[in-house]
Amino acid sequence: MKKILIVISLALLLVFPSCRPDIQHPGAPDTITTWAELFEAWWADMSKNYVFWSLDAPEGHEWDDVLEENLPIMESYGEIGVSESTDKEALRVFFDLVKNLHDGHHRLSITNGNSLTGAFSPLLYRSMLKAGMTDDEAFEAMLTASPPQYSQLYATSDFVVENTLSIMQNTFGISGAESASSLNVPFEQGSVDGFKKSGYLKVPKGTVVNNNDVGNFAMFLGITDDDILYLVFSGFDISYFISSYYGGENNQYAEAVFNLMTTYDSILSSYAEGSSDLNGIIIDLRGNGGGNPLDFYFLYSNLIPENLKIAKVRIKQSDNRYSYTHWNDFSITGYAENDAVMSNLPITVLTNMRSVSCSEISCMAFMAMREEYGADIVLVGGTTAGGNGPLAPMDYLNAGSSSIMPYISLIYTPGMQLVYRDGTSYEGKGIDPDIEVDFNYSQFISGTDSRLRVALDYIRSKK
Amino acid sequence: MMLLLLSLIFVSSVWAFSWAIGAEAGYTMGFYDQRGGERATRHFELGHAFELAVPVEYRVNDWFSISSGLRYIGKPYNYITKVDTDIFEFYRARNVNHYLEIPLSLRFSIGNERIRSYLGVGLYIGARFMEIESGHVQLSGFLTRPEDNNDFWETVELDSRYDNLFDSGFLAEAGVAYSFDESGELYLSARYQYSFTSLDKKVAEDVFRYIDTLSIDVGYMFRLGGDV
Repeated sequence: MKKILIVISLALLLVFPSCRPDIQHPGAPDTITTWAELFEAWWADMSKNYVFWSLDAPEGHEWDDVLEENLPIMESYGEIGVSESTDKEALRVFFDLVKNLHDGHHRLSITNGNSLTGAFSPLLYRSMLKAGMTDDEAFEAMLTASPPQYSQLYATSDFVVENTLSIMQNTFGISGAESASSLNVPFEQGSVDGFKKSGYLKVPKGTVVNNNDVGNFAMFLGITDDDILYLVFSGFDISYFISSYYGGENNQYAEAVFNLMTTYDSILSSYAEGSSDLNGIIIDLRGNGGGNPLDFYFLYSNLIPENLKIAKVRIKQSDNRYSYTHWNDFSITGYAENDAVMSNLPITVLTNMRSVSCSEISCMAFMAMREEYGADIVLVGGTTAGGNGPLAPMDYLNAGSSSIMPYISLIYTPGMQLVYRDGTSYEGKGIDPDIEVDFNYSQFISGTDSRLRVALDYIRSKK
Repeated sequence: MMLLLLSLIFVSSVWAFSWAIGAEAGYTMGFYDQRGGERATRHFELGHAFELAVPVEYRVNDWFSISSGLRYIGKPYNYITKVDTDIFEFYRARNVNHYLEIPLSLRFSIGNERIRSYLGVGLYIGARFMEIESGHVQLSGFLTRPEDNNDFWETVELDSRYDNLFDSGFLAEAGVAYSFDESGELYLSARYQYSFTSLDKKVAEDVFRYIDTLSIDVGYMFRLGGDV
């Protein structure tokens, strides 16, 4: 009996260590020639590098179903680049799978190697549907060589029209803001009607500061005649300019941004110290495409006296779709001397469907300030884009953007998932404003900015 | 598992026996084993945790016994994200998965009335009820400035749709026990557990992730009577 038991035990020792599979996923073939190969490679790449599976495939099996249902279809399309009509059908399959993803940053840049190239974006798709376009029209519009009639279908939407430069030109009457290659006006009296002081700039295309392309960056800072502080800027590139300024790159635009931000900071500090008057603040994020969250330090840290948790982020822990880390706090630093701004000043934040990424995280920051300090803060305008996931190089996060050459030049996607601090996800949905104001194209281009007017009226009603 | 139960029934009908129950605590070292999906920037290290157990031993005769009980065990590993050429670690986390387990092992002893040593092999089943990460993030993209990043100690969301909350595996153990008197014995043991179950539920194109453990325990078994 003793011998039998020992033999059984030794058998267990030998058998069980072989229970683990030796996984060797083949990956993309060296040379992709068929639509099926490209589809499989894209599917596998998304499987490991996309981070929103808990939103896009909540039950766990949906992405597997995508492969099972679509691979036979792609196999029927044969080789890439043989027939334009077949290639277009294949691109349509990719479009149909990408268009409803939650990821508001997402863009699939794909080609058949010849005349057909598409850049499929869920956010652009949503904006097109909002503009009244059909599915087919949206697909055609996202093909690079599509006739201009398709892009004209949404050309008057706030998504396309309403941004920092058009606001400077149409609302504030800064001549040539949209056409001039550069502008640089220091903060001074009388440069723009309705403002007792203002300053603004537009950086020429191709400008590089601190190794970052900041071409076409624009910013306007002003104090209205009735002491409302107003700031609009096209992207979160401020920290690049300030790094360039301190790094001695001797760039006039870096110095201009530094001067405007120093002015912005000193206006808020003076108010907190009680040495100047303000009646409110307007932060205008319409058309702001996001950028570097380090900018929050220069924009919002002087509003709050202590660090404030505004959101939570998580990254992938392995290539498995649902293998996430914990939710990590996303906080902004506070260095204001006191909470005078939060306690006393009404703040309005202007948004539209092109307010994305850091713009939306900014909205979360203001929502958190409202909760934490009871501040009088309202979001005014249109629902934001719904693209909150922070982007960072793949090396840092083991997920995010990639490519499958030569046919997919970019799968643009974040490496982190982000939710508001209470756990609410706005990815793919956007943040609704507290006061919704419809965009009116004809009024806007003729100089009547109804959204800004509502924001100003809100603050003036609090006097 | 069925094999062991049959063994238990068989031997209890043949030989005289005794029961013992005890308490043990120990240190656990975790070994993370991933099959597939390796990346140059993702690193894993040994982890350290602890375990507590209420063992039960069914002693069939002076050389053979069957051991079971209820065990809490923390299965740890460290997860680091860094570029090899950098000293800068973007993300460092100590990850501990917490389980309640029921082990079942066959033990073979040699020795005398005062001191004995034993070897055992068997299986275990377990339920994962919590996952905790603690560590430090140094990604400026996460927060506004790297110097503001806080250390964290947070629970990871477990979802039965994606995460394997059940675990099973093989165990091998060795120990030495010293009897002070008839009432019981003090023991020191080492146990290796080899998991059969990946941390994540299976989907296409997935990788498999396991945590094996090596534990060093100290415990005391109280003899409850019987013939042996």
